[in-house]
Amino acid sequence: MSTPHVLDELSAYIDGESHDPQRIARHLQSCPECARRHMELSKLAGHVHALRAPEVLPGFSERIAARVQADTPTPLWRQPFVTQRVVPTAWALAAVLCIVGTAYVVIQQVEAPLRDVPIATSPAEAIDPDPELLAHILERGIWETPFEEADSEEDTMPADLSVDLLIDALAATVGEEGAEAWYEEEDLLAILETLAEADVQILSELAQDHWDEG
Amino acid sequence: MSEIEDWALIARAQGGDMDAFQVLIVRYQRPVIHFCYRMLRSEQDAEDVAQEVFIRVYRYLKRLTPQAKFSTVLFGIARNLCLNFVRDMNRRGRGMGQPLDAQPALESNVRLPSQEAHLKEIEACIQAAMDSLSDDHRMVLFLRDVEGLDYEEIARVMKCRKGTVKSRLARAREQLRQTLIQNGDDLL
Repeated sequence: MSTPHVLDELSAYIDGESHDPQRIARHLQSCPECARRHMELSKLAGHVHALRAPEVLPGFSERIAARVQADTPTPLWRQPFVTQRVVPTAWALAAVLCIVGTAYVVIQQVEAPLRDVPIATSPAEAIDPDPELLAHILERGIWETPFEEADSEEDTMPADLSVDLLIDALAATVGEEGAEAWYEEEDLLAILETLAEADVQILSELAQDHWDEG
Repeated sequence: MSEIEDWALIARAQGGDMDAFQVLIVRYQRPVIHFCYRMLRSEQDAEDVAQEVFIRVYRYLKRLTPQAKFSTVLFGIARNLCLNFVRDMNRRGRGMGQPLDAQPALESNVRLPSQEAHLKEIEACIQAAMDSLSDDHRMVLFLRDVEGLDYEEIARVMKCRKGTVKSRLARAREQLRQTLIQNGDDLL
């Protein structure tokens, strides 16, 4: 009695990633069609493996080293423009933002809050974001792209943070327009570094929810 | 290549040792350029993007922690930069680079002209078939069959799940197989 074909499983089998390699091996001994496909896919993998790399032009690493060194800027805080103009302006801006931020928090508390995030009124009440989770956001957020829908029950990676989630969180904290602009720049790390502690808290909790749901 | 050694070099580079960073570049320049080359179809573009990959690594050096294979970090960056590059080219209306088979070859030992011609012919067939694949399918195939990454590592690079890697690979190979058969290439 013949067993069902294993054509769909051959790709993982030749990669050594099959869940039941013995069953497939047994089937291949008795099924010419699957055995032929197995041979074709193995040959195909061999051909792709044999693709040759282009020659690396001499001086590649030196050019990178030179660029890296040229890119290394004078520390920002030592540049005259920063010390004379930016710092005083930043202090003024920070004062304005403090006032606006306080007003915002008060309004959020008075009106129905959109998020159930406790807002610290003093350092003692502040909840520290989970450092591990935050590290994860910072680490992975730089390169993350939205996940596709899982298309297999064997998907085993834990649920993870996506750019969509970050953008949603950013939109909630800095407005959609700002979030879109930053997304275009794809410099999420820089964004995260500019967020206020309360915003980081929100991000952290959103990520935790996402994680838990996953 | 020893992972421990890679991360030891990174630790030294994090301390400002540029020589250690250059050792890493030399170690990985070939696979990174190759990856970019297969994605972008142009040797010049591949080298430019590969340079950018290493510059990004340097920029984020202090944030790297030895939690994964270093090559997955590199290919993850390379993937993003290649996709950005392709998107930018499409926006500007510039197609991708010249066909790969027009590129000067390549590495390796001295071969007889007939052998070399045969290899080039096979390579051109495979590349033509690979060009019909989506970017994701081409990447997954490269990372598995050329670089030998396992599914877990590819999932890290592609920022997707292991099951997605498995299904993408199966689809990519099947499409490649059918394209080769349709093209009448006698390679299988």
